[in-house]
Amino acid sequence: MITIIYRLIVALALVLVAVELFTQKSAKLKINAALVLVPLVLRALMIA
Amino acid sequence: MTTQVLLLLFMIAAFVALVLFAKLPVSLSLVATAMALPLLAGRGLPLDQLVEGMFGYLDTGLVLVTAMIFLKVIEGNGLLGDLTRGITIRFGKSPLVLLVALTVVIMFPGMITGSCTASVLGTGTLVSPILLAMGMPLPVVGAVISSAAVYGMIAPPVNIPVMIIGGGIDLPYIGFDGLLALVTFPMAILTTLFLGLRHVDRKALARVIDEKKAEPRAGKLSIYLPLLTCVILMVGPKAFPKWFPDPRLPLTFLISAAVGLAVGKRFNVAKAARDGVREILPVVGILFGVGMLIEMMTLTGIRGTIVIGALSIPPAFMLLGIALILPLFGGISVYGGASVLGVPFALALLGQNQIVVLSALSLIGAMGSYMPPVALTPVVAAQLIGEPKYGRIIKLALAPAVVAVLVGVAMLVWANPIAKFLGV
Amino acid sequence: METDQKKLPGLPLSAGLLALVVLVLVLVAPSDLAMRKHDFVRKGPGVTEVRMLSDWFPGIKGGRGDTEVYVLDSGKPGGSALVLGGTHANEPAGFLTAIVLVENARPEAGKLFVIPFANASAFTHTDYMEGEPRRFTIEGASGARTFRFGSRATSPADQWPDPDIYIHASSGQKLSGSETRNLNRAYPGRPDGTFTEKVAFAITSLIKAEKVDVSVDLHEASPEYPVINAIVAHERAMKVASIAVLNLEFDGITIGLEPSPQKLRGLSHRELGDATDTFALLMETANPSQGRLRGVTDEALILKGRDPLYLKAKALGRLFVPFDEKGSPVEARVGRHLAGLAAIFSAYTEEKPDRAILFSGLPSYDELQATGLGKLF
Repeated sequence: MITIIYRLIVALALVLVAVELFTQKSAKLKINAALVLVPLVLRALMIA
Repeated sequence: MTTQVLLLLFMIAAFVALVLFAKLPVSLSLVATAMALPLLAGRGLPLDQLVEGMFGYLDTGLVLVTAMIFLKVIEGNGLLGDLTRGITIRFGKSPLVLLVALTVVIMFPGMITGSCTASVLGTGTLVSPILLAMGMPLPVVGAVISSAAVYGMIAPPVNIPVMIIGGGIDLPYIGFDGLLALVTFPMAILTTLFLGLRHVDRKALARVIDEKKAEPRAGKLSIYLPLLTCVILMVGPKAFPKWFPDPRLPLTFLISAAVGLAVGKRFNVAKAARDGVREILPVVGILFGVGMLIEMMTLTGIRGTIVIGALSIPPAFMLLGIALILPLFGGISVYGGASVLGVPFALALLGQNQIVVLSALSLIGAMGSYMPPVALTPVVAAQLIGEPKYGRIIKLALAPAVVAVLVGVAMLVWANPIAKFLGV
Repeated sequence: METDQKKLPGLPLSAGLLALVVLVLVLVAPSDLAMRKHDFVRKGPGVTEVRMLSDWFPGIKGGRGDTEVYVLDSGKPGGSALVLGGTHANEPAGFLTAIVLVENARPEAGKLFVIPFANASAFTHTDYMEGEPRRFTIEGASGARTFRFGSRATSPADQWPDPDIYIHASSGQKLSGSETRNLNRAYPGRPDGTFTEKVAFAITSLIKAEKVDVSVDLHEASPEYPVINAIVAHERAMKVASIAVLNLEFDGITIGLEPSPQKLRGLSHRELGDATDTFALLMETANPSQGRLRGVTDEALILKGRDPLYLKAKALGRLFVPFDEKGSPVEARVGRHLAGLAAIFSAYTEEKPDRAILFSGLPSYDELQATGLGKLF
């Protein structure tokens, strides 16, 4: 149960970071957002 | 000079050059340095391990993101403003009492979560406007919040560095509460008073109190429900572990944020969440970058070289080494320092009382929270209060931090007598 | 903050970065998922049955905590023993010894249960920030054999998130939160507990149901760890362990004997001994590839155990074991475990002749050092 909730929390963070990737103006901060996306996706899918 | 020492020098030089000259964000500089290390060591680009390193701080990253969402919510619905008003009016008559009360308030989230970031973002937000109103300059406010937050991190009931070191030497986390409380509370309060008391302007404070009294109250008491929810969810699992399921911090923050949406003023939630993420994302990126770098430092043998270097210090200089190296490593990660250096140091001090030794190591190591490049506590505090240069906060917090390290060293020297005296 | 006119500034860069993220995921995810496939273990001449741990506790059936239990039944009267490998998947001599048993041992009296991958989930990932290789290869007699090098704990993909503090269920003992995924802090386990507690419960159930006389949990520890090259024994198993240690010393294998601490809860040598009638023991060898003082971390370190930094640490007096240029090769570590198992079982057989546990087909310590580990695979 708690795991499912936490996957949803990761998914929420994932969406917010993805929004940031597309709305952020600074190229450097875009790269930063992309970096953060990688582990979030892997955990949301429970691959790693 | 071994390959590892050369790699270490390269690593430091590359990181500094990327941050200072290439003006890259700290996170990207860490990632670039991390990727260069295995290439230079002839190990190619181990993508699996590079990605794996980031997971070292995934949980912390989630805490930061959800905490920011919670903060933006209680900022938006008017809770923060109302709370500031209440505390200022109630305790405003005596600045001394007010400062002591506020120190404990800042420490609280760190005490129960073991994370100084929780303190800065949680109650630091509430307290900073009051400190400003009392007449403290911005950097002083940042230093007071950072220092109380760092002590909150090592104050009982949850001290993660002690748990990490204890895990490495098979010592259960039992019997630390009394000693840790005895060390952290007086030091936290004294530090706040040392930093802040002389800046308190009684007239300004009185004026602020009058202004606050004139402000209309938010009205219903229900506006405090999100905070109450947060406290219950944080304390409940620790107080009644048998039947109160532990929601962990991220869920605690999100549930409290949801409660916050139901009470107080209406505001744009989506925008609040996006703003929160935007503000905290650079810090999350730094954490992930640190994880990647530590993984590559381990893979290439740099980590071991640092540890062995630390252990090579002659016994006479051992304590000096601990006092310098442990806080320095905090510049990468306090938890990482506890794991990488705290465990070998604790093993080197096996003859001494373990409870005192681990408490002291955590106290010394925690002072690494001020250490660049990560300097998590002052960086987050600066971001929170809008201080453009977090270096100013570090400068102010330095002297009390040095005192704390000295106290820690004294604890290491007299660990057995202290243990005997306190009966731990 | 949103003063820009364009809703999506720098769209091509964003899209490019997103594509890069997808590329990284496509490259990384398959290797993560491949770790879930159990390593090949050959059914040796002594294996009479291959069962699953879920046979003793259906609560883990079909999940990633379920794992093979190899039964080596002599068909002759005697006692029964359980050998656990891979409680910690980053301690290779532990699970390699278990695999050697399955592939080579011939039971002469009694019955042997062997679980090579006790915490199967721990084999599906490596510990974060440790830079460890995910596989290592041994050149075996039947070709190259590749084994996974995993983590100390259950994968977060199977049990997540960790609590701030892990409270051991039956004792209330508090440990750092990540220990909640450590199988050797989860005993005796709970049928309705966490993933890891369920695995622990299944192992406890096996011991109870099969009336296992002796349980040996095979571990390794970093060379700077105080309890090493040692047998840790529950108080009821102390006499058998002492005889085993004496016999090992007689054969030139120096090994320490530690009583299982009463206060340290959740460990196999404490809880299995308390919760069941089994004689609970644990063995440790020195593994530099999991140590905190190690240098370059690669396959060679896992197999050869040679490390200039550990040499320095030895010179500094930081180690609790002998350590020289020869390092701590996996042959020596597996050899110690095999010799230890043989000594424990023969000591038990001496103590309780009607519950004899005897097996053959395994090399002595010296033979293994001469031939190498590859000959057994």
